[in-house]
Amino acid sequence: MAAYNKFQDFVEQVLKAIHDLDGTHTLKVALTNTAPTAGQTNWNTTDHPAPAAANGYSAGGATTTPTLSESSGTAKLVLSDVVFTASGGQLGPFRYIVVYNDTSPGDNAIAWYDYGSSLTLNDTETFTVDFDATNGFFTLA
Amino acid sequence: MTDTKAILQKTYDTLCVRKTEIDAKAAPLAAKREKLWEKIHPVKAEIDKLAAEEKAIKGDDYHVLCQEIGQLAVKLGGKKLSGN
Repeated sequence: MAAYNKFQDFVEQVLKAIHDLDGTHTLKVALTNTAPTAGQTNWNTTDHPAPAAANGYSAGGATTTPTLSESSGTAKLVLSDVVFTASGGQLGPFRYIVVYNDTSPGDNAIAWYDYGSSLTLNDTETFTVDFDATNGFFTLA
Repeated sequence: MTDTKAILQKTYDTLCVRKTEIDAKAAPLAAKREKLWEKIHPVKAEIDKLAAEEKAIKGDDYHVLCQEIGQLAVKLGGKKLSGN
């Protein structure tokens, strides 16, 4: 399992009401081949060049749908899985998968995963981002 | 009143005066801020309503649908990142 890496500022952003994670803000999954750092606040393609917006990759990445629930004082956010499919050519290279808030004023970054090595999808190949449906993308207690 | 208590009282009064002055300066801004929030609340309610409609269209099984698509993509030979 790839480790969930939190952008540190996210926890403060939550308390500043920058994120509305109950479906009113659009969350996106972006790809990059440049390692994110925990101290970053926002997602942008200047710091983290993304694959070209072509061949199955849309500018800004793919949308994931959040489902928020709460039980016994613990909130859980589940994200829908995302499949990137190379279409019409190669998609990549990329190694890091970043989840960010596309609605917040600064496209605030939430977390990222490290695939472990750079990857380029050939035409028709797929890459599935399989979020944990049981334990959630994250919990907050 | 002892000398010590008198000094404490004087300091207390000075600090209270300072706080009152600061609060008086900040109050109009706070009032303005509250008025702006009052404008935002109806817009937020409208956004929430749209989000609820989107959620209703997608239904409870949307995540399962996305999960099944992902699982099939992997079974068809695709690569996968498992997020914990």
